[in-house]
Amino acid sequence: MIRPLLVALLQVRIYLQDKGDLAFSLLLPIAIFALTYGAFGGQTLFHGTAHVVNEDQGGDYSARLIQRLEEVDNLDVDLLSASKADAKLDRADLLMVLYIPVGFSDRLASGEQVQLVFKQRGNGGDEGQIVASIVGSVVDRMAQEFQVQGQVNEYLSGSGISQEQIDITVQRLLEGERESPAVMVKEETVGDSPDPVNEFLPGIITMFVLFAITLTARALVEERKKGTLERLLTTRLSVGQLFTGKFLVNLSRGFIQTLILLLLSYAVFQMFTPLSFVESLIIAIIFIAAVSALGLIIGSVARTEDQATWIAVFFTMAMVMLGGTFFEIPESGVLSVLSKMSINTYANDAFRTIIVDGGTLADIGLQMGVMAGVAVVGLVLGRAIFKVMPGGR
Amino acid sequence: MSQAFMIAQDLHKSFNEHKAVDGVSFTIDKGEIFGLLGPNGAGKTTTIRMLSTVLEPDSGDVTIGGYSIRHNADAVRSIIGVCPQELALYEELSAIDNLVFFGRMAGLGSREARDQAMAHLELLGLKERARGRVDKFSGGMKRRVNLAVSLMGHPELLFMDEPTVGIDPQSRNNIYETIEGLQSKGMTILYTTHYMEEADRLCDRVAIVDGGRVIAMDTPRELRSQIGSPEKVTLEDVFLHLTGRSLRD
Amino acid sequence: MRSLSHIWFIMLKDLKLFSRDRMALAFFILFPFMFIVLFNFLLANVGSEDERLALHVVTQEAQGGLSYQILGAMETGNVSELEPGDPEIIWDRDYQEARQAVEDGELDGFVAFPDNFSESIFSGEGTEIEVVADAGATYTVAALNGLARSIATRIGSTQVAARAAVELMIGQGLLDPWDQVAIDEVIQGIISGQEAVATEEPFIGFETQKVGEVEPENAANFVIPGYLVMFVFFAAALGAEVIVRERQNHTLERLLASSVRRESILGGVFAGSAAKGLIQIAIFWVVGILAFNVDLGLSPAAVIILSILMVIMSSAFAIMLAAVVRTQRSAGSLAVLVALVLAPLGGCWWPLFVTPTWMQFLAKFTPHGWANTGFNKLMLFGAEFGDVVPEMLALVGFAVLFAVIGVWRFRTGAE
Repeated sequence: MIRPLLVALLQVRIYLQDKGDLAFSLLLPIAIFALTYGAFGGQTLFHGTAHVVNEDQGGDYSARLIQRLEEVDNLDVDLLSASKADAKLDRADLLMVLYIPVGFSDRLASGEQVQLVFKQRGNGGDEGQIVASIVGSVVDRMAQEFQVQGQVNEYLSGSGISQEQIDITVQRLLEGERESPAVMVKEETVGDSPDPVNEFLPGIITMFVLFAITLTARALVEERKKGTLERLLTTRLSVGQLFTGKFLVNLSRGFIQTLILLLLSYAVFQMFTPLSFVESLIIAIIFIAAVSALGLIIGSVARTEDQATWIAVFFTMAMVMLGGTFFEIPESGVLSVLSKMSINTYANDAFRTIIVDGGTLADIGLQMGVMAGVAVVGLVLGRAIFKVMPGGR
Repeated sequence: MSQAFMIAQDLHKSFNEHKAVDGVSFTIDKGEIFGLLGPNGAGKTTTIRMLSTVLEPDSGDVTIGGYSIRHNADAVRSIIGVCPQELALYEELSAIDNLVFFGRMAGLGSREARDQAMAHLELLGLKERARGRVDKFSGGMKRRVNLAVSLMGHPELLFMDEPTVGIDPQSRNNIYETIEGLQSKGMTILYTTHYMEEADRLCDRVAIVDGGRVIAMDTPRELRSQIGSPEKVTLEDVFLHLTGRSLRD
Repeated sequence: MRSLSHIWFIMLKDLKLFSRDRMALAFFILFPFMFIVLFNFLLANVGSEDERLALHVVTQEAQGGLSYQILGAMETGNVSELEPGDPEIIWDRDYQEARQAVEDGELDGFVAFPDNFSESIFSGEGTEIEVVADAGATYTVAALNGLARSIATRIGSTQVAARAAVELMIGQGLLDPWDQVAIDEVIQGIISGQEAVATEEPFIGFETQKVGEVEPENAANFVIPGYLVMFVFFAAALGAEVIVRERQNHTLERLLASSVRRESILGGVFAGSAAKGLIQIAIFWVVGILAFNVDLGLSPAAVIILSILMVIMSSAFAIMLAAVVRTQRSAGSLAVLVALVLAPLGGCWWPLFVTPTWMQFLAKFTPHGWANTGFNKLMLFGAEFGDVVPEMLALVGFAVLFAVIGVWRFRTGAE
């Protein structure tokens, strides 16, 4: 057993000295996590676009309406020509467009009622309906201002109060209302926001462990071609011991990588208790063992370094995507069945149970069993097909 | 009297502080096989790379067939061939694909390149394996393909940098016979090797290089006679006598 | 002329080398499509969500309060009478039950009137309408906020009208500021007027014209461009390894010795990489159109040009990468590293328009971001050729930058 350990120790030393390799296996997952956190983490607010056709060019009130829409947070205003908007609606590139008709401002100014037009497909889509509700509230405010003016005028007609006085008073009070509304809207959220750290970190870690180890398959192919594997056999190392050594190399590398990433997570995000940290390490070791075995299979199957790289990349990406790292896999259907073939599914589930749900190792017996099974089967298969030299033993 | 086909005049080349070539001058006559011998790090490969226009000398000039490498590099390249020490081949391609490619790069037409390729492969005993992938060849076969590539375009001057390193005696012998055959057809050859018996067998004249300088230059027989009876002394004895027995980097 | 033929032969040689590696060929073409198929599955119904919004409202007031009148007027009686796009307003009767439903995840949220609503309005003190929602229900929160603001606006304007009338009448001496009863009468008069007006057509109304139904977005329209961008770049970047290998095994040097210029070598290597990329994009689009019904939008020419520019930029990157690294392994590792960072950052794995503004800003530093933005504009949002010229120019800029560095630093091994 000493000899395989020596093989493993040498490679681990090389790994720790290789800045490029370290950067790849440590910095890259941190960078990707930061990117994913940035994309989906934090407060998510609605952000929509109001597509508007203003046929009332030069009109005061239409300009005012558009300006008020632009002032709404998280709402972009996209001004289109009528022909372009019609074409986009036709092609379903847009689902809802607000048309401000010709004469909108003139008619409002003369106290007439006007109608804005929503041209839409179906209900306008989810985003369209929200945008319509926001537009509605902005338009409502404008309409109410006219309404108020009209109401007060009507109520005070014949009172001898001059129109100018009425206008000034109404405008002043409307301004005051805008600044300090009589009725405020208060928002209260219930429950926890989805925690991006807990959501994504396990997936990112498993993804990069998988990547790092499967890419070592390339190094194995290189060594086979160069003859360094063969050379090791001249030192009375048996093929079995050599295979064990290579397995231990992958296991050690993966463990070091995971340990550092988990320690960083512990320190930065405080997402563990001491117990859950240890349990996570145990999950990691079993996962890494399974992946190491698979890496050795890839290294045995590939005949060139390019093949090894491609197989590793394909295998890793398939496992990662099916494992629900970035997207939730539906609970039923074809994808759900396919996801059961991804080792990442079990690893991610196990991590989430421990980290997010506060479970214990007893709760993840199935996941651990599957990963351990993959490790054992992978090792047996890998040993059967492992060759030190092309066509040789 | 043979005319000088290649004239190297006072070549110098340094890499950072290290003087790899320090004033090398020699001539090669037309149809001659000229040996360039020297221990590791003596400057042989650097010299060949300058002569073949791959590296620019810091100073000095070379004329080949009347063309200067400084002023008529293109013309020089059109009449030289290079068989490098490394196997500079596309191993994923077949032998004939390699030859045709380099032939086309040398300006041969499609038909001509193919005909030449088959002829060279036949010359080197590889006709049956013309369509085989080079990465499946033995070391000796790869060396022969390497040589065949350098013959594309029928160069007038061929640079051969240790062409028989690490190959079996049969392949080596085949290469010797090929070289002798090429010479009989008028090709001029600059040959470097660490195998003294090769130089003795093949070369008309030999220059011994050490520390970037030519320290001896003459026919093998004359060189042997400098230190003893030419029948008893070997070229290796001469080499070791002139360059010493200490190990080199 | 000779240089051109050298470039041509080097390109052909690269294509031939590539075609010999069956497994790499399979992965180069098949691999991306496996992901495209997977993501088409995953995202099949994206964009088809068009269910009518159902907004829940509740009051904590005692029976008979002002909120009852408001909710009575808002509540949807008959859903079939609603215009397309109008939300269904559902009046829940118990505040605590509604709140529990949100906590249990059965309800996304609701709008609630406080128990002292009427009192606060009539006394002029001001009050709050509450939007209670699940933290993750972004759309519901926005819709409920819109509804709550509409309600707040109407009540606020009633208050303005009432205050204006009272103030003006007091100013004119028509109303005694100490006569609360008279003041209340005026306010009631205004509110009654408001109720009467509420039944009439509003000043600014809405008309809905339905021009068709909402059809599910073809997921391939954003999945295929994203993966095209990722894999074209990935394949080209990995091609840098091949270039480095040629430098290391001295075939590049051999070419130099056979009168091929350094520029021709560069040109040939670039052309080889670009040729592979062009084959890749041709396959992507042909299969995309035939098998996945991809819609190239109003300007297919712009889509093709954008794709070609992506290929050119990627090939330039490969030259640059080959120029700056020393070993094959470094080239391979860096290629994977760069490709895997730029892909998510540049919107290849998820559309950029769902990410926060700052991330969209960061994406502008990547060629992927520009390419994906261009494709999304053309294929999802009906843009025309002129609308994506900035994206095309950005890709040209990246290509030039990479090419300049690559050409400047490129070594054939002889130097």
